[in-house]
Amino acid sequence: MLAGRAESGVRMSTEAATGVAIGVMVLANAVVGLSLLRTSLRTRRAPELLIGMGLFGMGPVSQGLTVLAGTGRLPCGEVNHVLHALSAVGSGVGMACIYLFVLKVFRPGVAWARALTAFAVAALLVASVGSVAALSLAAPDAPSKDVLLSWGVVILAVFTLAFGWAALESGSYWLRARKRLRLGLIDAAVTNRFLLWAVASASAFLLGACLLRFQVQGQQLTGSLVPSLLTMGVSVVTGVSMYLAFLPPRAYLAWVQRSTVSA
Amino acid sequence: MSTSAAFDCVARRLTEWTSLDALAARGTVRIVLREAGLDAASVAPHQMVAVGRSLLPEALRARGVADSEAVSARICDDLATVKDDVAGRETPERVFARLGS
Repeated sequence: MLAGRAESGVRMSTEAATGVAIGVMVLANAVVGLSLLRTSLRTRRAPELLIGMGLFGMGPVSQGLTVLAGTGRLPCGEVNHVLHALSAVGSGVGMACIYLFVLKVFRPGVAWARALTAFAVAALLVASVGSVAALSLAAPDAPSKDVLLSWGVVILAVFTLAFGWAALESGSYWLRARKRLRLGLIDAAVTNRFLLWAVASASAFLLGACLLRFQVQGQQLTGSLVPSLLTMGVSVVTGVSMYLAFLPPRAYLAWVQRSTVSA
Repeated sequence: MSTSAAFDCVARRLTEWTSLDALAARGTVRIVLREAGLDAASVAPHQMVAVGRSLLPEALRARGVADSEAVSARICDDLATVKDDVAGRETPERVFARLGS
């Protein structure tokens, strides 16, 4: 009986950790995404529109609608198919925007980067259509989690690749920006923004890789304490990094400038 | 990949005013640009001047160029007349500057 209570306690805490992780990600994506979309209305430039749509699409649109639709929790017959389809659109468009952002900002006109983006967008399209079709064609009592597993793996793999690529590009640009900073050729806050976006992307990559491993092995994330806490920690790092990168408080910017002067 | 006007100007002056041939001159400028976190395709004249003042003299001295300080200073003066052909180009730096505003 005691062992049962302990197990139930661990399960409760892992569910809470996973809930916090998802909540932090959705909140950070919503706040930062909306801010970047507002910036894009003012500047009328594509990169801010792409990253804003990317974060907002993958965060509140996709995750929020997934929760409302009951995808993953309920049997296929009880999942709201329209909300699931809208969630798939939000997720697909959001991820495609992240690829297009990285392509346009860091590798414009580079053949391999165009090919990678085209491949990712095609994979997202197929996986999104596939998941909607699979849910519609499945038996009503079949668990939606199992029915959508293989399409979920594809989408998660594309997500992981997107942020791995973003982290590499932003991280390597940060290393170059640091050299320019020593010559006074770049602003310290902009240099720091490359680092923060690299950290946020690397954390999202790590999160994607962990979730992918769990999905491929068919394990439940909410049942194990260490992966749940890891997921929560990574989500918090991603959220905080994105916030400091794109909505930096004045005190933080002042600290960045001071650190640069003293270094 | 095409190179910027500032890069071409410095490489040309190095072949005219020093003993370096075209290949060595262009290679030297590429190396100092890499040390500064810049590249030959997108370097602007004002960035090239900063590199010319801080890193170029030492790089020229290491390649046996006599009076490297004076040559570098002359090149920096010459860069003032070079048109900035990368001014309107969208760079990661410009994008990320806007993203925090």
